[in-house]
Amino acid sequence: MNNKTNLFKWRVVDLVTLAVLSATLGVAFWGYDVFVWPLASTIGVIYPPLSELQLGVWMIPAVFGAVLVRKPGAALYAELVAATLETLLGGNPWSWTNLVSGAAQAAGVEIVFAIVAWRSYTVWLAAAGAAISAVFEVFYEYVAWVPEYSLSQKIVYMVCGVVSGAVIAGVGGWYLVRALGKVGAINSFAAGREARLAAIRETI
Amino acid sequence: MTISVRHLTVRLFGAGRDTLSDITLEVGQGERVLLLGPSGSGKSTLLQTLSGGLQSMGSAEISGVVTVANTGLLVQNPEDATVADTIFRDVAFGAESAGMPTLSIANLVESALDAVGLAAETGLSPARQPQSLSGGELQRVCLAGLLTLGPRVLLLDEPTSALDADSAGAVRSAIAEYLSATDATAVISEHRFTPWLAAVDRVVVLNQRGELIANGPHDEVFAKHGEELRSLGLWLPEFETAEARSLGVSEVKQAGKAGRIIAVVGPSGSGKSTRLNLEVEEFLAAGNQSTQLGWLPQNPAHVMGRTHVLELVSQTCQRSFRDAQDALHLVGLDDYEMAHPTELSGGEQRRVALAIALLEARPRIWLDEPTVGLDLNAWRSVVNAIEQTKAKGSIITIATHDPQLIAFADEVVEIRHSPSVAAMPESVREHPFSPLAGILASVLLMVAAFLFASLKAAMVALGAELALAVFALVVSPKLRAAVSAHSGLILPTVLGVASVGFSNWLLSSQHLLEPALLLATRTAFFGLPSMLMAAEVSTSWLGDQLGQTLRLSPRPVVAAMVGLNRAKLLRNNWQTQARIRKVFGTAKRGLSEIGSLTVLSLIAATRGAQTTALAMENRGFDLRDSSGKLVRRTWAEQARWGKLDAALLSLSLLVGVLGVLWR
Repeated sequence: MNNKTNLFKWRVVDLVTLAVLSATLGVAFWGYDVFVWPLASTIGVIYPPLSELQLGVWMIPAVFGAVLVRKPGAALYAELVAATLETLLGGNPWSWTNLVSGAAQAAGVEIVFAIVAWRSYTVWLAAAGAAISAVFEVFYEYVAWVPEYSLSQKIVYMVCGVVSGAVIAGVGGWYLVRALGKVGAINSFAAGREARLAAIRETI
Repeated sequence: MTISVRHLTVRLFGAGRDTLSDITLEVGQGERVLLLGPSGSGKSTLLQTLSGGLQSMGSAEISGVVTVANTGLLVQNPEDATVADTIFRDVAFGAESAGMPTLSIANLVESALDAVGLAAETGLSPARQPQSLSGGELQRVCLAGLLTLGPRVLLLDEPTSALDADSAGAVRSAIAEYLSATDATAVISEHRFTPWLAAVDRVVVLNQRGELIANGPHDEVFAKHGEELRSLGLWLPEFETAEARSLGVSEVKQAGKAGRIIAVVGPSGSGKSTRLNLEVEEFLAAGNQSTQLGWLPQNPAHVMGRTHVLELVSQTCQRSFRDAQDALHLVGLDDYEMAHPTELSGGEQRRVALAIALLEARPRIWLDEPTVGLDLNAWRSVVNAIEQTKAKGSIITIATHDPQLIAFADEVVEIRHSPSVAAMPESVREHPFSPLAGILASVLLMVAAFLFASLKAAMVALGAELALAVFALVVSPKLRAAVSAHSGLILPTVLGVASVGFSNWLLSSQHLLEPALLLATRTAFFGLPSMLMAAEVSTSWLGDQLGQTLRLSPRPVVAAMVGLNRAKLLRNNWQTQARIRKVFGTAKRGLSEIGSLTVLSLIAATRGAQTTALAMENRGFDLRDSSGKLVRRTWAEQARWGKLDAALLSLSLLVGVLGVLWR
C-alpha cells in the first residue's frame, strides 16, 4: 500500500467522498436546526449560555474531514460544504453567516493538525483542534450574536462552547470516522484502513 | 498492444486471499474481449485495475505491470455513476474535464446521446434529471458520458445484467455501434453473456481463485475447457436454452399445504417493484405482523446493517447463529459469514438479503429480482432455496426478468409499461432568482445589518424589507410557490430571532432593552429573507456561477455540487431504509432510530461516493496534460444570470443602505 501521498494533492476520491459526506451532514444540520435546536433553545431560556453546549454539533464536519482525508484544507472544505447546504435548505436564522461560522469552526482544527505537520491524528489532537475552533467561533459570536452579555456570562458561554466542541465534535467526530472505518465503508482512506484492521484483529 | 498486463496480482484490503493471481494478458487495438468468471473471481477488480481506478483508491496491494491506453469504465451501478442534475450536464462532464470549448460541447453531447439511441427525436429531454430514467436509459446515459471522451479502450462491468431483454438489447447495440465506428478496444464482463458472443473476438476466463485459465475464441475455449467452465458455474449458451428444471434444481416433495410462486414480469421501469412494495404494505395494513412476511427489496443494500453478515442475519430474523448459518448455506454464502456487508459485491448483498427473506419460510414472501448478477452455481442455490421455501407452504411473489426463473412460476402476472417514468419532473424546479444572486443579496443584507446604528434605523430597514418581500410575493406566483413549499421553516427562524433578543437582554449587565431589540431586529433583517431563497437549487446553475462568475477553483466546486446532488437523494434513501426497518421489525424507537438511520445513511453515502469518484475519474475529472498539470476545466453552459437578479440585488442594496444611513 502506498503511503507516500502528496499532502497537497487531493485524490478524486478524497474530494468527492468528503463533499458527499459533508453535504449529508449538512442535511443532518438542517434537521437539527429545524427540529431540535428550537426545542433545545426554548429549554435554554432558563439559562441561555447552556444552549452553547450544542455548538459541537455544527463542528463535527471539521474534525470528520480532517481525520478522514488527512490533508490541509479538509476541515475547511467540509465545513463550507455542510454550511452551504444547511443554508440553502433554509429554516435557520443565521442565513449565510453560516459560512463565517463554518470557517471559524474549521480554523482551530486546521491549526492543530498543521502544528503536527499532518502526521498524527489522535483523538486528543482532534479534541484540542475542536476546542480551539470553538474559541474562534465563540469570539465571532461575541461580536455577532451575544455582544450584550456581561463579562461573566461571556466566560460561561465560552466554557460551554469549548467543552461542547471538544466532546461532541472532537471526540464524537473522531469516533464517527472510526465507526465508518470499522465496517469497511472507507477502505480507500488510510484512516478507514487502520480502523478496519483494528476491527478485524478484534474479531480474531 | 492497447492493453498489456504482466504478472498482475491484486489483494484487496482486508481480504484473506489474492483477488487476482498472476494475470498476464494482452489485448490488441480494436479487439473485443469477453471477460468470464464466477461471482468473486475478480472480474470487476480486473476492470478497475485496467481503468487505473483501483490504484488511485489505494485500497489494494497491487504488483505486476499494467499498461493501458486511455480507458473508459462503465461501473456496475449506474445510479452512483451520475454526476450532475440534468442528463445534458451529466453527459457533458467528460468534455468539460477535457477542457473543450463551450460551443463544441453541445454538439458532442448531442452526437453521444444519438450514438446510444437517446437522441432528441426519441422525446427524451436532456434537461431531465438522470434519476428519473429507467435502468436501461440510465445505463445508456452513462455510456454516452464515456463516449464524449472518445476512449480507445471501453471497459464494461456487467452493462446489462439489471436490464430486461429489450433494454439490454438497446445497450448492446449502442456499444456495438460505437465499437464498429471507432475501432476501439473493449473488455466486457457479464454473467449472462450469450448475446455478446457474436460481437466479441475472444473470451478470457478467470476461476474462483482469480487465475486466468483460458484465453481464446469462444468455440475453442468452450470445447476445450467445457467441463471446467461448467463446474465454475458459467452461464454457457447451452444453459440459456436448456429446460429450466434441468439446470440442477432438485425436485422437492410438497409437505402439507402447497405453496405457490407468482412471477411478476414486465419491462424495466414498468412498476414491478412498486407493485411489490404496495403488496407488502397492504399485507401489513391488513393486520398481519412483520414476522409473517419475508421481503427482498429492490436495493438489497438497504437491508444491510452495521454488523457482520452472520450477526446481521440472526439479528434481523431473531434466530440463533446456527439457523443463520443454515440460511447462508442455503444461498451458497458459507464463506462470507464474518465478512462485512459493505465489503460484499452487489450480488452477494442480494443473496444475504435473500437468506433473510427465506429464513423461516414465512407465509408470504416478496422477492425483487432475486437472480440478478448471479453465476449458475449461485443461481442454482438461490432457485433451490426458493423451491424449498415454496414446498413448506409459502406464497412467494417474484419480480423478475430472468426467463429461466419465470419457468418455475405457478402463475405469471404481466405488467405493461406504465407512464410513471415519463411523468417524472423534467428538471429541477427553477427559482425566480439565480442561486448566486440569492447568496449575494443575503451577504449584502448581512453586512448592512452589522452597521445599523440604532434600533430605529434597524426597524425602518426591516419594515422596508418586509414591504418589498410582500410585494414580491404578490407579483410573483413562482416565488410564492417556492416559498410556500418551505413555509414551515419560518418557525425556527422566528424563534432564533426571539432568542437572540431575549438572551442579550437577560444576561447583559444593565438589562437595557434597546441594544437587545437592535440585535433581534438585525437578525430578523438578514435571517428572514433567506426564507425567500430557500428552494431546491439547481446545482449546475450554482456550480456554473461559482466557477465562472466568482472564478472559484473548478474541481472543489464541481465535487461540492456532486455532493449537493447526492444529498438530494438522501431523503429517498432515508425513507426507504426507515420503511424497510419497519417491515422487518428491526426499527428502534425515537432518537435511537434516528441515530441508526443517520449512521446507515452515512454508510450508504460513503459507498456511493467512492463509486461516484471512480466514475468521475473515468470521465477525466483528474485529466492531466503531458507535463502532468491538471487540464483546465471548461463549462458546458454559460453561467446564467436570472432576469430578476439585478432587481433583487439593487433592492437589497437599497434597504441595506437605508438602514445604515438612517439617523
